[in-house]
Order: sequence, then structure tokens, then C-alpha cells
Amino acid sequence: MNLVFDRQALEEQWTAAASEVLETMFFTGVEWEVLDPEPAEPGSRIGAALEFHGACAGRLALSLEREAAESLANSFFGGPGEDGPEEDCRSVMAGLTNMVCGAMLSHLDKKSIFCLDSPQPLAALVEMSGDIEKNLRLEVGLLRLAFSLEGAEQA
Amino acid sequence: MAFDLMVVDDSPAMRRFIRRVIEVSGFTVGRYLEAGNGEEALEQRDGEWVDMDLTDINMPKMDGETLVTEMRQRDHLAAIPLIVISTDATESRMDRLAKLGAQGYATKPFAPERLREEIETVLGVSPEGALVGAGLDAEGGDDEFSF
Repeated sequence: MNLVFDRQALEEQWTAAASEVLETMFFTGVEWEVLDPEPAEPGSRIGAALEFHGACAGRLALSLEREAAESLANSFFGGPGEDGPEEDCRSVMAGLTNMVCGAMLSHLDKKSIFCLDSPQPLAALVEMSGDIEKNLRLEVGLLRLAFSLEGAEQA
Repeated sequence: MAFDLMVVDDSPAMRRFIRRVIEVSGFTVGRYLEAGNGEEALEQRDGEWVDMDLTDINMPKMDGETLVTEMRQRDHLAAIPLIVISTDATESRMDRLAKLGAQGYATKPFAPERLREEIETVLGVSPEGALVGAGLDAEGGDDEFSF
């Protein structure tokens, strides 16, 4: 049986999941939602995406301004790592994507089991597209989120 | 009292973060071992004793569920306390891991104190590090679930 979802509720759950992860693990909050953000300069953002499977399948992609990602990485790791700031940013975006997706899916259906693939770096911003797209203003910068869900029906 | 821990997660970032969280929480760690998946964790355990495993679920080569199952089937690893650390907070997953033999479950995101509490509960130690009666000691013990 396919999952049935309410689009507006799903969008609110995404914001809640991202807020929960950012506040608890990265010590930064979501300030507000940005409805019409400025276009991003090529190379100015860093992102990650993952696919998930289970009761329904889909994909989540997140991207953040590079400076903001560095700030998150510092909060997350407590300082620079041996592999340098670029690797720290990639790692932290992968971790953030994994946790936001897991938190969201757990809220979506507590009775089902989902499997999350390993997050992969986004090679280009063109990969930042989905059925639901959100832009959240964080204390450190603008977080973009794109989510697609297969095998689920909209209520 | 210091405890030897092994963290099993395919994300180096998450292993690094968990290590930092445990250190920040004030929990005293002796040796801190890391593995990128269940297979690596089992390979490292030949002749190596650790007091607790903390494992992710979704990993390449050998996932967390298989690792728990394998550990519980091996005499020298069967009694070692194990906590699952995962983004998956579904009841189905938690029930499944409990039945396989995991004693604790911490869902990401978590605050440092939450992870420390889970570790102390499963190890059966007080916040000061002393062993308490109801939990597990370094030689293994009961199968009480903390979730």
C-alpha cells in the first residue's frame, strides 16, 4: 500500500526536521523561510544528495553557501580537521543531509522501515531540484532543500 | 574508570563527531576504535576487547543489523553491549534491532548528554563512572534493554 501524504504537512515536517537537526547537532537555528532567493553564483554553494528506499523511495538534496558550510563544520567538529576545510564542508553536508532525511522519514511513517544510501556530493546546482523545494534562512546562511518522493500519493 | 569503545559508521565525519560528543560529555574513554562497516568491525575484533560498540545501521558491505546478528552469534562477542546510533527513529526499526540483540538505541539528532546517558545506562555505570548493580560490567551481563 502506498503512503498517502499531505503536501503542506510534508513541507512543514521538512522545516521541523531540518530545524531539529540544526539546533541539536550544529547549534544553529532556522530563522525563517525565504520564498524567492537570489540566484546562486556558480561555485558559491556546496551540497550533498542521497536516495532512500523502503515504504516509499525518493531523494533529498541540500546545499548551503560555502562560508555557511564552513561555519557549520566548525560547530559540528569543534575545529578544523586534518583533511582541510573543503573536506570538512563536504563531510558536514553529507552528515546534515543524512540526518535531516532520517529525521523526516521517521516522522513521515513510524511503522515503516527506510534504507538511506550514502550521501553523495552534488556536482552542480542543477541537481538541486525536486517536487518540494524550500529555502531556509539559518543564522549562518541560506539552506536550500529539494525533495522528491516516489511511491507515495498526495492526499 | 575508562571504557574502550568502538564506533562503526561509514561516515568519517559522523565517527569524528561521535568521538567529540563523547569527549565533550565528560565520559571517560580508554581506547577509541573506529570501523567503516560491520565487516571491518568484526575483523578488528580478532584479539581486541572493547567494552561497547556503537553502530550505525545503513553501511556498505555489512550493515548494522547484520553486525548485531553476527556479534550475538560469536561466543567472544555475544555479551558485548551494543548501542545503535541512527537517524532512523521508526518503531519498526527499533523493535527489530532490539530483537536482534542491541541493548540501546540513540537517534540522530542527539544532544551530547543524551548519548552519554544511553552509554551509561547500557554499560550500567553511574554518571561518576562507577559500576552499578543493574547494568553490565566489562565481562558482559544481562540483556536489559534501555529502549
